[in-house]
Amino acid sequence: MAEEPIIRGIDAHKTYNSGPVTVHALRGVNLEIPRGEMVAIMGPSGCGKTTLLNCFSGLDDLTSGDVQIEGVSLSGMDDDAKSRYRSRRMGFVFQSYNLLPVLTAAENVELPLLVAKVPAKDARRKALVLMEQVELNGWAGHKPAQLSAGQQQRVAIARALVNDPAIVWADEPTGNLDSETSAQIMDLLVHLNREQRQTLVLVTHDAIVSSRAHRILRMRNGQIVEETRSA
Amino acid sequence: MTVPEIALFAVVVGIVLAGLLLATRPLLARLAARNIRRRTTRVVIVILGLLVGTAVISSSLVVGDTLSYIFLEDVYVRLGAIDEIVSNEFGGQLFSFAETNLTQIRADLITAKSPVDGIAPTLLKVMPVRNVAGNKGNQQITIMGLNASYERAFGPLTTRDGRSLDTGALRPDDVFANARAAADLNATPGQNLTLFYGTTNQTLVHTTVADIVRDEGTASYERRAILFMDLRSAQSAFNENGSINLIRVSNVGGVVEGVAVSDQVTQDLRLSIASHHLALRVQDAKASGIAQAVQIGRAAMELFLVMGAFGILAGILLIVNIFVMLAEERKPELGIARAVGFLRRDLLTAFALEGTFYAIVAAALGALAGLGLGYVMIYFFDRLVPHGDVVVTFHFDPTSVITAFVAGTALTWVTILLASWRVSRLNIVRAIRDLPEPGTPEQSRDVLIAGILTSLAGLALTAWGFLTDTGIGKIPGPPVLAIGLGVAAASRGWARIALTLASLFNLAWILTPVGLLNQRTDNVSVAFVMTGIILVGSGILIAVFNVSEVLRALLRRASRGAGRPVLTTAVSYPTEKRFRTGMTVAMFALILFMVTLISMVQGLQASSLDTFVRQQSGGYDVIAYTTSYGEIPNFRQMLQQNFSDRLFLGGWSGVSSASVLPAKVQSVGGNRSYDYTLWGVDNFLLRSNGYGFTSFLPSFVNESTGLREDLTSRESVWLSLRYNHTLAIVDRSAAGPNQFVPDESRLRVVPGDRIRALDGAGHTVDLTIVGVLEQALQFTSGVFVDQDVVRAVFPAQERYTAYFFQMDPTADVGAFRADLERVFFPYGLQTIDIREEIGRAFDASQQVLTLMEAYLGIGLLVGIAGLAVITLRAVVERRTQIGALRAIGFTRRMVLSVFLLEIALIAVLGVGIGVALGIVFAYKVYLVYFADIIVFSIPWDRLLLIVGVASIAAIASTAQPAIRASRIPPAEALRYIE
Repeated sequence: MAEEPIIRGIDAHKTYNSGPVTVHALRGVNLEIPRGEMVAIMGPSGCGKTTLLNCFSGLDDLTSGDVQIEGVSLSGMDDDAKSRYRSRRMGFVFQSYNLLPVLTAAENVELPLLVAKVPAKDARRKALVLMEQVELNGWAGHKPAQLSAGQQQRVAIARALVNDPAIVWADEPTGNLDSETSAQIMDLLVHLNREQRQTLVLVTHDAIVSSRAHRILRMRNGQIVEETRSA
Repeated sequence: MTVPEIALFAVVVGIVLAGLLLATRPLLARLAARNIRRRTTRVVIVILGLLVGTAVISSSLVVGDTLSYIFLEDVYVRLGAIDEIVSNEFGGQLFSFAETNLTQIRADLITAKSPVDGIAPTLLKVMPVRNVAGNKGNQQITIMGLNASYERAFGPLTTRDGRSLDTGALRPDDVFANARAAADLNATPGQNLTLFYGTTNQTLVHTTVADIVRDEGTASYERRAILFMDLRSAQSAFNENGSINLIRVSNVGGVVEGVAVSDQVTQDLRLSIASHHLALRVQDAKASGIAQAVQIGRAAMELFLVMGAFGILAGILLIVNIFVMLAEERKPELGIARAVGFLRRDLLTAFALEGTFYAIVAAALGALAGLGLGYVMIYFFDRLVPHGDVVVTFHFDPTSVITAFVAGTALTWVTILLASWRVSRLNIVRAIRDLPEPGTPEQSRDVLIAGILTSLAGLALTAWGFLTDTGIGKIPGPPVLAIGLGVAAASRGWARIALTLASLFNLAWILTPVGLLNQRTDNVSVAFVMTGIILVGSGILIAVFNVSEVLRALLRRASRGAGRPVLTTAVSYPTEKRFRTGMTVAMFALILFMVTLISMVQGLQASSLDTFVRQQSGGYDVIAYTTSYGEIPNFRQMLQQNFSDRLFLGGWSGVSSASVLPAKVQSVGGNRSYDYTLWGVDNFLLRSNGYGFTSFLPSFVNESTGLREDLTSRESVWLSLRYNHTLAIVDRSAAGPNQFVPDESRLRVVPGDRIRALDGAGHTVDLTIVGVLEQALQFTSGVFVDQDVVRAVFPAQERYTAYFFQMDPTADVGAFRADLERVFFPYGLQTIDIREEIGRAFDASQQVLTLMEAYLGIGLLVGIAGLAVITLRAVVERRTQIGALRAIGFTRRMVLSVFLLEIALIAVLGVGIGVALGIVFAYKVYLVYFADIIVFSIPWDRLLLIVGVASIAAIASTAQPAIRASRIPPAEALRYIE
């Protein structure tokens, strides 16, 4: 793994003001993640894992410091530019799936492609391919409420991968799933990571999940305090 | 108990129950209170939305109160102490009778101990009067001869400086002028007046103004311009010695209280008249005036309530919408409450307590807002609608405000209780996990039963409607049956197709160009509201069940690029949430339907003005008529001496005349007579008028030759009156179909029918209807015969004369009218410019319709409040979804567009359905009632304005939450937990 880092965080600070209290969610995080690496971020609740994911993916702004994605500084991009970048180069998987309940599974999956102005027919074709990859053949026309939790997360993964992102951000992707389904989902993510060489950054509490990553970063009080490489 | 009393009782019981619950279930009360305090902005919007219904009710009642009050006040001003009037009146003319009749009647009233405190003789005449010094005149000055010794109960005549006068002190040639007459004649004390009495044989009476009296009491009689004389002097001046023509009666009690014994006094007067076989009539003038005033108020209130009914309905939909959304929003916490041991009725109670707060606050504010709204309506009524001398003062009865409060609270409450009951039936686990409720076999069975019951109700309504010939059954019956069948089919999973077909059937049923109403017995207001609800409801069902498919089909062909995901997302929410969408669309559609309909009526009226003027005028521009009875001697000669024939179209033949008789008309063999005007038209009018016919006889017998002649043209039908004096023509008001005039009050004849015209003195003439005019005439309504018929049968003193002028296009009509009135002033000739007169009435009616539109526009507030509530809710409900959208690349503008497009879709559906159905329904009304009278047209400019205002209001009301939604940082949206 001696490639140019696709993600680089430089002295990243993030503070929140919660009433009279100022919360330091990130305290000078420096981090480099090479292309194709699968990184797990672990730590106790409130240590700043999700904040790191949000700030490094451009969903939130840093208070100070910088994040560079593929060599481009996020702080130099305005909101629209970040949105466009996300639609082309990133995918997201959330703990509670965050699918749009009024759209069918296929419509949810194809949405990022439509945002990226891919023609509708191509988008649908690609979405169906992805749904096949996540083993959801035959479920394209179902609404999220008609799917099981595992199926919903598979839809979310398909949506995250449909635009061939360079980076996939996953926030507790198995947090709402039972152990068996969790394992299936992780198998799927690992498989896709290996096969498509996408960089995967996942936040998790689960040691079994993190064990599948190339590298594990442990956080405490807004800082990375430990780094472990898997064997 | 009346309905308002029941509602008041229910509200009082409800408030007591709520109070008990607050005391005995503090936990539930605390929950309700916390929920109210949770979101102040939303509470404000909810209350604003809820108060509109009450405001509509309150304003309708207050407008009714004011109109009743002002017309009631008008009755008191016009009649003063007079409660009953005794006269020998026929067709508006007061015939004289012996003064001794008064003595007889007075003696009888005393014997009968009738509660009367005054009975006074009057000789009342109307004539032209000229101020000799100022040379200013007026054709319609009333002269009242009074006997001062009888006047005590009616109050004195009072000068401007407060001195009391009576006519007994007047010298024989002196008069008192009331302020109105003094102003009309520009007269001051000491000035000489000339009274022109009579038309054919005119007498000039010279008098002097002794003093000016205030327009109050007797001096404000009928708000007329009056000159008062001593009775003896008046009798002498007008050659009516020993005669009077009016007896005024004042009951015991004041101006207001006396009417309480009017029935008894009227009865006593009638008994007296009958016992002496007098040819006199008693009018309970004040009681009738008051009844009429109350009726006007009631009619106005009903009109505003009918107009506002759609606003009230929209308000109810808003309440349902708000509470369904509140329930959805709180579903997880309600589930948890159930999980920790709350009973269903606890949830119901907590919700109902919260609702009680909204209901009471909103109803109280709404009742007060209605007062304000009523004031605004009355203000504009005063400014825009001509109302003569009637003084418009805002007035309300506090009972009306309380009634509105009670009705508003009851309405809100019932709706809230139903919504709360629905909430309390949630499934605990699904509620906690915020999952949608699936259909269960029990629910399907319930839907099936509901469908069957609805079908049976529809069947019963239909049968009742057709058996009793009532639109109240025929209009809703088949639609209810169709919806019932649709609902039953929906329970088997065929909701879309079944309800779409049922709705299409309903639209067809209502819009089929056949009148379903029974004009004689049905309440048109109720039928109208029902029709509107069925139309709009059907339109909405079709839309909510099909718009999704249509939009998706369109989307497949529509835009590529960034617009597509925005469109897909925007249309998905409203099409998915059918109930919520349907409710909101309905709010807009109901109001827009009504506004469009009124606008269409306005447009139809405007577009048909020229045709209407042409049909009404019959080709004449000016009509002149004498205000006193008799004929102007040598009219044509005087006309030719003073005017040029170039003023008239076709020279002197452009001037026609008619001898006019206010008569009674009945069908030969019938026993009911109607007040009708008999127009004895001259040869010029027969040949030059342009009135057309809807129907006429194929032939007639020419009396001079004895031969039967064919009637082939409009002109030949008119000329048949000349050649056969037993023939008559009637205008459309005397013949069907006229859907808006009940049969009871009008003659109903067709060509060939025989009628009898009679006067009060027993002169009669039998006539055969030869033709029916195409219009109900405004200025010359009645029965037309040859002039010789009227002159031969009825005495001159019963007739007055009307003159018709066809003006040359280059003539100055205004100047001609002024000159004509000046030349023929001694005969009291007054003129009407037909186009100007119709234009004035047209303007007034357009203003009333505009006022109605503005009133209805208030209902739009409901729709707007509804959209605001929905958008606020949507922003909260979809916060994490907004985060997800932002994560996958939606820009802020795209998120904003999603919300705005969604709102636009709802608004377009609501506005579109309302406007489209308004136009179609207006077309049906046109086909059934007006097709042969006016030309159909759509006032696109006006409709575009309405659509524009409604759409802008919708977008404006929701822009703020939509913008806020788009500005939520994605990370914050994703971690949002309500």
